[in-house]
Amino acid sequence: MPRARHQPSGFTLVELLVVIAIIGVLIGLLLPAVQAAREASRRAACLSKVKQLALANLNFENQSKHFPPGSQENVFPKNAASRDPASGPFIVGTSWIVFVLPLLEEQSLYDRYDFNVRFDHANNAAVGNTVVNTLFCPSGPTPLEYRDPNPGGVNGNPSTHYYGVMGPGGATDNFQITIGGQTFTYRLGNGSSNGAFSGHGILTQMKDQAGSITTGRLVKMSQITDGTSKTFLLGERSVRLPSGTSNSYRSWIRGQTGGCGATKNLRYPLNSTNYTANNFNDISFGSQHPGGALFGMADGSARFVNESIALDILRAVASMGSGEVAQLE
Amino acid sequence: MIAMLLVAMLTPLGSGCGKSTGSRVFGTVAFDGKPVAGGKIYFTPNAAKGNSGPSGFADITNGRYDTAAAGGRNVQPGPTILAVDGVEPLDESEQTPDVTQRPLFQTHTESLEVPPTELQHDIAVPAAAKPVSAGRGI
Repeated sequence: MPRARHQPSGFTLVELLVVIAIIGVLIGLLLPAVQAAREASRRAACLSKVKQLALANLNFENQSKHFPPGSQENVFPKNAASRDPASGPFIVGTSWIVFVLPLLEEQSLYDRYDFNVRFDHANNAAVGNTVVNTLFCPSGPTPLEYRDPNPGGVNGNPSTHYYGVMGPGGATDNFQITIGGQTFTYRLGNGSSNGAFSGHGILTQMKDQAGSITTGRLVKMSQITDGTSKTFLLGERSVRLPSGTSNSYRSWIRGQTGGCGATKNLRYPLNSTNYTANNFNDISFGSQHPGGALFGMADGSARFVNESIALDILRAVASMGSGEVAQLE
Repeated sequence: MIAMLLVAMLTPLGSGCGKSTGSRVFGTVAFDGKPVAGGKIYFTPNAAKGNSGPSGFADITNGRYDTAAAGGRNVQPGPTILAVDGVEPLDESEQTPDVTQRPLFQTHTESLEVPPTELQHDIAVPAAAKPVSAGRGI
């Protein structure tokens, strides 16, 4: 029987490699698009969290007729017979986030917080150790990646990715910004120290003692004369730290003791500055979203702010009542 | 063949990040003649001389800085004000969990004209720049 010439029934090696190469090219084209779509959805989730936090602050203002203190410092215990200034200040030091917990549907957490002791007292360790999901941007580091290194009740606490904007920051008190040819002057307490605080933002530092630019500072809606849609209320800081460093984030319940845990001055460009020395309150806002970070405005809206916007414009928007004409775009 | 395949697959991945625009500025930073261990340099367009736009910045690492390196952003050309914050690590015995470095001097500023290409600019912070305290614990 004459044998027919053998016909190959499968693919040759070359055909197979060509097919694999084509699939590889297609996947290579698709992957960046998929990554961009995933980042866009994470950014949308982050935007929604910023908006929730901004609305919680507005609802707080509606109920209490003032915004919460951004970072308490040196607040004496309420109704305490032991209130003796001679024995030194009593730092309660609670952050704004604790004050708005009931408005974030976290009433049970709020009820567990003891306002009569310091934020880093053992009584508050359980609250401080709780991960509140609203406080974390999905594009940023995970809640437990960077924890508070300090001793006491805050040791190992998760941090927050959303910070109150204390106002424009600068090197010294009475620093100046020029906007459109006009020069504005700003007050700053404790310049060039970890505890530097602006007197021009909404969620600022608040002291009990007289003689500070932030004595009893609880901001009312009517004081935001630059316009609520043109003033930063809070901003995002959810950057991953350079490898080998971890010392930039603190407990989310921390107000001010030396430096502020949950509020920052807007002094430096977005995505520029991590904690080194004496710049704790000036650590820059920023995020893992490409090209900028999300901010909540005082009218309850949330928006993306491009990192290429001039720094002085951002600083002017951080101030609530200085009369600058500063457009974000 | 396999190498070509890998190149074809990886090329689109690598091209995702845009290069930052602006001029690269780099050089050395010394305080009182000695290299500055760490810190940050900020380049802000000089509004008084009509320049505006985004700020550039760079990390200081062992006495050198480069706006094109990690932790930096290139600088808008034109009249610029640069501000230097220098720090050094504290001795091990002085460190606490949250304070590990101290500032070397108060923010040092200089005026600078940045060309559209690149610029090497060495910074010598005079010893007279007033030192600041180690700062309160945070």
